[in-house]
Amino acid sequence: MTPSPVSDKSGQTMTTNRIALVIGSGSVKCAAALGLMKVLEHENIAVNMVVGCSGGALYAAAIALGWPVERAVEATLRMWTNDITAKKNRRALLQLVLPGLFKFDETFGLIDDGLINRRLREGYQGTTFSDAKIPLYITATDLYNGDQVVLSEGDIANAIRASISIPYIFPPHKLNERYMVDGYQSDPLPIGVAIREGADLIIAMGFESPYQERITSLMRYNLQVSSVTSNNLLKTNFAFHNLAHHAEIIPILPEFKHRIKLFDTDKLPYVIEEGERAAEAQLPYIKKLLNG
Amino acid sequence: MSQRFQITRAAELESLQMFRDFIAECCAHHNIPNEIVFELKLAVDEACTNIIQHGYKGMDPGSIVLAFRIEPDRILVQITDFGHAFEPASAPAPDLNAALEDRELGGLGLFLIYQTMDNIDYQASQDGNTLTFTKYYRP
Amino acid sequence: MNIQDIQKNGVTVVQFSGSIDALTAPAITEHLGGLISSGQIRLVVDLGGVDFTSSAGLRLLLGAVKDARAGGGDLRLAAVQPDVMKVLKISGFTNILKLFENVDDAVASFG
Repeated sequence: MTPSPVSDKSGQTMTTNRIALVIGSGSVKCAAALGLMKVLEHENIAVNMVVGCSGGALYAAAIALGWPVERAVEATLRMWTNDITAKKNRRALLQLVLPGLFKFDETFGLIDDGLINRRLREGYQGTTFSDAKIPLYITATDLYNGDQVVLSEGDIANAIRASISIPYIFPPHKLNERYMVDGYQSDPLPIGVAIREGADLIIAMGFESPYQERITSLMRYNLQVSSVTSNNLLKTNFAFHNLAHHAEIIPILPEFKHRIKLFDTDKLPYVIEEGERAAEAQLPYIKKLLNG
Repeated sequence: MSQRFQITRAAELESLQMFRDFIAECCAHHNIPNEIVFELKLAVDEACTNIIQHGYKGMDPGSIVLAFRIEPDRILVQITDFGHAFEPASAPAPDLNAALEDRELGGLGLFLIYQTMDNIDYQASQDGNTLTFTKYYRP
Repeated sequence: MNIQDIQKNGVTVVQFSGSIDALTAPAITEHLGGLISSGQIRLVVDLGGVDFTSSAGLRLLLGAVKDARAGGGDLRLAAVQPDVMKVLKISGFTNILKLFENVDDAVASFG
């Protein structure tokens, strides 16, 4: 790719490649983005925008806010622990059994979201999108019409909460008068946002949703169905975005030999390492593109 | 309670507008919701474009017969031509490296027909090739 | 199909009116191609007067937006009518293009 002339706000023409980093959904695996960041930082490759979806939104925000890797890891360990799903939403069970009497509505979720909301608020300490050092975009999905919603202003914790509303587990999040579900429902790897926002080179880290080894409960069945849909959506959208983008999209797809579960935060160092490895494998290509 | 309409036009790009206008006119008398009329125009336009650009390739341009029946809850559409049959099985594999805008119908156009119409079927015979589809609607 | 250009604050606003189909698409493609090759890569396409588009319209818009972006510019849409919006939505184009309610907002977005 040849560097393209772009007019900046002052009207001057400069030569630049706008580099976007897109981090897809994938719960704890998304921390691999920190490994990717380490590699880019080491090579002095500056990113001009960050897009995150679901688990990827946690790290997109950390990167955009300029947190060092250690701080991001520490924050994840504090925020994302097993106990955030410990408290069941008792009303949800009643809503399931007697939907009429207990008024089943769009706020349904099996887990009480009080703790995760508090953890996110503490973790991001009231920072807003305008605190980000690099433009940050977080995606969620409008429950009522399926539209992808791109959040780029207001409270970051709130946007992340919307983006991680895993259906059935966490209640949809009401934001700007809309009920939002998980960003992966509209696009597990929202490269389209980077295309629309004018990126040239797009580095996209994506993850396939894991399949269940055995389906032994309604919840596992639900997760399985959800993975099937989401993985197909990932592939179709990726094909479309590749055709629709005028420049390069570099997919970085870390491979994990160990199974990473929803709350396997003890595997974070391993996940970050795999992210680093996957990024290094693409580095020669990225450098070649940047040097024209 | 059903009414049938039919129009025959030359298989040339100039006819596309006539097909669309014909649909609009027939639907106007039957209180068909606007978005349904639009989707019909879109699907018929895509199908006819394909026939015009590919169906009669290397032949004298023939004609396209558009017939449809308006029923209280559905519209049945039939498009007939007398050119080459569309054979997805023998068609060359799509060029995945081609830019989206350079790809021919079978890609985006066919996708739009599948997105908007129901019960899509295609039959090729010596008497011509017939594409049929149905659009359900709530009056 | 009528095509008209207006210059506003360094942005070229292209106004179409009529229907975009396989018959009318080549002239529009050529028009947009001419603008881009002459360096007019900050483009707003005003679709306020377009009541119909087939996939031919999608293909030509995508070709033009990619060329404009490759040159460091962009092509943005304004005043898209509901029927045309539906085609843009079901084909995923609303996620990769910038859309604005009216021409002034679209022009202002170029900053």
